[in-house]
Amino acid sequence: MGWVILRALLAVLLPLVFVGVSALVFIWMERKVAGRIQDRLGPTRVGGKFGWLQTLADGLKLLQKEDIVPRHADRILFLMAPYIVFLGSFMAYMALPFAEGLVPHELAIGIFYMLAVMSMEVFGVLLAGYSSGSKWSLFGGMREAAQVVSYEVPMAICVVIPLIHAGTLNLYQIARDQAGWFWNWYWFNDPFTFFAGWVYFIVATASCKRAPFDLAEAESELVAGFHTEYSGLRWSFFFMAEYASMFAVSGICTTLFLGGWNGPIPVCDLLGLSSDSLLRPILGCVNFIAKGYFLVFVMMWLRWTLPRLRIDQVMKACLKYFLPLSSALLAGAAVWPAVFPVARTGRIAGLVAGGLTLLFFIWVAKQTPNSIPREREVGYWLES
Amino acid sequence: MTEAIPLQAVLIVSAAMFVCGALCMATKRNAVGILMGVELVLNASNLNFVAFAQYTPFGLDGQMFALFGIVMPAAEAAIALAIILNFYNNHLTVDVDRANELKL
Amino acid sequence: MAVWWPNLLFWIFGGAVVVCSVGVLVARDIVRAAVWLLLALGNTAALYFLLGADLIGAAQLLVYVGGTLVLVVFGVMLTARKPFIKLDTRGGDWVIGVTVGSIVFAVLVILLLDAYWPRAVRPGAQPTSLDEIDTYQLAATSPNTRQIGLYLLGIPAPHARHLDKANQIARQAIVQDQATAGESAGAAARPSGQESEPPGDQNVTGTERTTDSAVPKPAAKSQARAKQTRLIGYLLPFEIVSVHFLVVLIGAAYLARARRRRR
Repeated sequence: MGWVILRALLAVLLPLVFVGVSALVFIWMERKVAGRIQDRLGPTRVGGKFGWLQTLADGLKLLQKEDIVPRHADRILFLMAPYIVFLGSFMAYMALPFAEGLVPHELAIGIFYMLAVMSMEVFGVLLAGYSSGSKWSLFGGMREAAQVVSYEVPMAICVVIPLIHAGTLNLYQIARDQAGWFWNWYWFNDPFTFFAGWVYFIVATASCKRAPFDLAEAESELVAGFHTEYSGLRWSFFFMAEYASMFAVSGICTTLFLGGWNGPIPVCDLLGLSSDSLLRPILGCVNFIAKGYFLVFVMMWLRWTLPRLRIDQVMKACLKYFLPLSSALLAGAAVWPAVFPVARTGRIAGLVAGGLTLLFFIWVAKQTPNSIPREREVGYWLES
Repeated sequence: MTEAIPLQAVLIVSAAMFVCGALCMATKRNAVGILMGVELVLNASNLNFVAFAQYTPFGLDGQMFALFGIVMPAAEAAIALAIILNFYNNHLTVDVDRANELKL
Repeated sequence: MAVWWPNLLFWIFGGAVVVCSVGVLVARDIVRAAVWLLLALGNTAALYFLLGADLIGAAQLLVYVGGTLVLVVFGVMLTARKPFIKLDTRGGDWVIGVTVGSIVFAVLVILLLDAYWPRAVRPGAQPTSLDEIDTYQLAATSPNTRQIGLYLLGIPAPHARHLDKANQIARQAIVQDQATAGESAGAAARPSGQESEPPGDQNVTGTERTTDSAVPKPAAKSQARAKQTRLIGYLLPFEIVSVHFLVVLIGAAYLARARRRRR
């Protein structure tokens, strides 16, 4: 009996610690990535040459800020909103499979449950926007809510596409199914699933309210959107929730498309390790976290590279481009096993699609110059 | 697990929710408040279905009914809100006591 | 040792549902009423998880909390001008309402405490006769996602029973018990090759057919009851709901369209 309670406590505390530590790492990573992309260094002073303790210093600063509640704010709702948002993001970690045997709780409806609880965040955003008592917050909150709710639809459709092949909603089973070499991953199952992975990632970025879809929290637009009136620790809860949900959707992407905790090469099988050796869960955990972190890094990369979309462009992209595109991919992925019943055909086609995309990226990268030669700096753009 | 929770207890909870929802529909003056009452009533009936699915030979059909009872009220809430917004656009009020144009 | 935590969790979540429903009723501020409704629906979803309805609980969170409530709160905020946020009910209405409500609640409680509720057959519990197994509906305990999916695809209960492993095993156990209990003479006297299931399930997967040929014909009474419980799968309601949603989408978009003001 006590063992059950202890296991339940661990299942909650370990992801909580992970979310906290990840938030620290992500904030530092965001500033470093932003700095590097903007041709500067980022934090370099606190905690050594790379500024590793910068986030800790920021956290301490936020802790000792004055706790302001605006006079016209609805006090209880104002205090409650950040926790609802964080709850929505954090509850999703209950179903994420970190490694073989390392799931907080193996749910038969894993992915459905994750989508369901991540949809609770919207309510917290709306509440924050309304209860701040200022019209900028209200507008920002309503825009955010409309955007997130709209983008949940193509997200759900793109999530269903690998589930057609998987046949189960259980994320643990899905990750176990992708064991082996990298061509076992669902991403290469057929070309439609391959493109669905890309579309899912873009749509998940939008549903996390990250740039280039972050108009609702843009400074030039609405001061800071729904979290304008928040200061100190409550504001940091919003950001922790945002980074938590970023890692959660990256976790879904890695589990559904990129093989979960399985690496590209089945190292443990090649070394002939037994199935309950300790290296398997450790390596699996490292794999999963590395893939999740890499996808979060790509989200940050997008944020600091691409210009922001206007809110009408955001909604148009969702309803007129992503929704038909993901529906077409769903139709294609559903029809593919009927037209090509042999699984290898789909896999080869998916790998071919992957290879072509890689070649395309290499070609695009070759088109952009590495750096602008100094002597041609002024007027470089005029001449070309 | 279900030996621990008596069926009657679940039914009492859903009866309480039902009565609160019906009272909401009866007493609230804000049109959106009435809609909230409708949601409570439908949820109470869903809870009944799920309880009967677990405890009686009704079986999985109860959960199927509950599933349909979740998605249909969502559609109904969308239409109800569209109607309320239309009403607000035309009369600039959501007080249902002011909706008396069809009265004799 | 008795498992006490489902009871505790039920009292916590059930009590929270009742408290939050009363909160919706009593709240004067419409936004606070929406928050109480959020809590009520969230706690109901927790109750669904406790009652073994995983998919339904997650659907409740996804559709009600993440969809319908967001819609309701949008409606509240679009019409939230100062005089309408706190519309009060008159005192007389409250008295009548609470009286009638209490009477209805009392009647409901008395009814349900007095009624007889037939018990379900659990997959863990061993059904003791073919009677029970033929009227056995698919169990509602989780994980039942696969069965729900089969139902939605239109595979009716008898077919789905074929595909249900627990039912197969229980059926085999009962058959073996009856065979060893000396019913073999009776089985030989009956005509062979009886269809024990209602007709129309020839298209079920071939592997599961072999176990049915060994099952003797059940009693007429239970077959009649099995016919009663045989349902068509839920494909038709599924399609109807899909078309219904299309109509609702178009209707809501039309009703809420922006109109140019002519003045």
